[in-house]
Amino acid sequence: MSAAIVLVGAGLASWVLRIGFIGLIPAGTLPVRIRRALDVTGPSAMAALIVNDLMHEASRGAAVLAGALIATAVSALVMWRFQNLALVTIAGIGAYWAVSLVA
Amino acid sequence: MEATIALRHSQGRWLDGDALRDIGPILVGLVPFAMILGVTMSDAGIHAGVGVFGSFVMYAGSAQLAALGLMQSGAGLGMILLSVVIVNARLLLYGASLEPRFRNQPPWFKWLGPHFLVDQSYVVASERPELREPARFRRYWLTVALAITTVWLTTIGATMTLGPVLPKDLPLSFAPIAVFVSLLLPKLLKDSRARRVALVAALGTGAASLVTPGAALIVGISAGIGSEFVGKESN
Repeated sequence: MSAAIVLVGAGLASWVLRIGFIGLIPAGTLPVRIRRALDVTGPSAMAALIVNDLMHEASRGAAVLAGALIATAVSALVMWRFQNLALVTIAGIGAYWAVSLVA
Repeated sequence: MEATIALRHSQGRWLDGDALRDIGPILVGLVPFAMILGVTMSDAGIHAGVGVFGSFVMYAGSAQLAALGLMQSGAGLGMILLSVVIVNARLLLYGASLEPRFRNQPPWFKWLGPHFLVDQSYVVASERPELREPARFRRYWLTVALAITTVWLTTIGATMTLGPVLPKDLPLSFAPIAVFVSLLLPKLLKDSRARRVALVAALGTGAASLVTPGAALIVGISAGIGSEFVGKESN
């Protein structure tokens, strides 16, 4: 099977998912209770993405996971103290890199 | 007044500065992921042109990796599409959450704009509740899309033609986690509802990733949103 056909078919399926509740069945027409629950999609998604990425790190070994967990804690600490996204990114990557040198 | 300020803010410049500031750190984390995808497609014998075009059409790295893996193992188109739908099902929820921002947009943007809906664009846009004015949101969204697309496709194309553009052992894979932590933490500190939902989503994702890694994100996100109903039922 051609890679182009697979990628175009998969792209089409992804697009339908993307517009599903925007153009096909607008979320505004859903019951109020569901719309209110959708307000928490943001924190749900962010927490899920963090854990998903950490689980991916775990698949590379315990030392990598330990480094990622330490770097996550450092990121949270820097965010709590300075509220600066760029600083958090630099501190997190720096901590992750430093732990990888030691491990 | 607010709308007037937003409109003024949106005139005269093509790119949105807020969007560039928001997405900048996240782009750093996209590079290693795009390199992995580029190497995978090269190893599968896919032509660079097809790889870059397909990556634009699909615009979803995790699902694309899943599709390529299944294709190489000889799976049929139906199985591949099912896998893509499972991995990308969270996009349905992201779309529902952002629907009010797309509601009063021109048709071209309403139908084509969501193509650029990915974890990264959702996270930054959902953190900007002030983007209610359609033109302002459109400019923000398209700037984010342009930035992601440029980094994503350039890195994939370069990797497929030149080999990995950066050493593989650079610690950039941590960048997305740092960004998500920095966006989530302020919510957790001030909102008990966010704390409860995030905890359920995190536990759900962790548990699901042990059983069905491909569907872990949608399971976790759904669990978090679903806990809202349980919470309300018990209140």
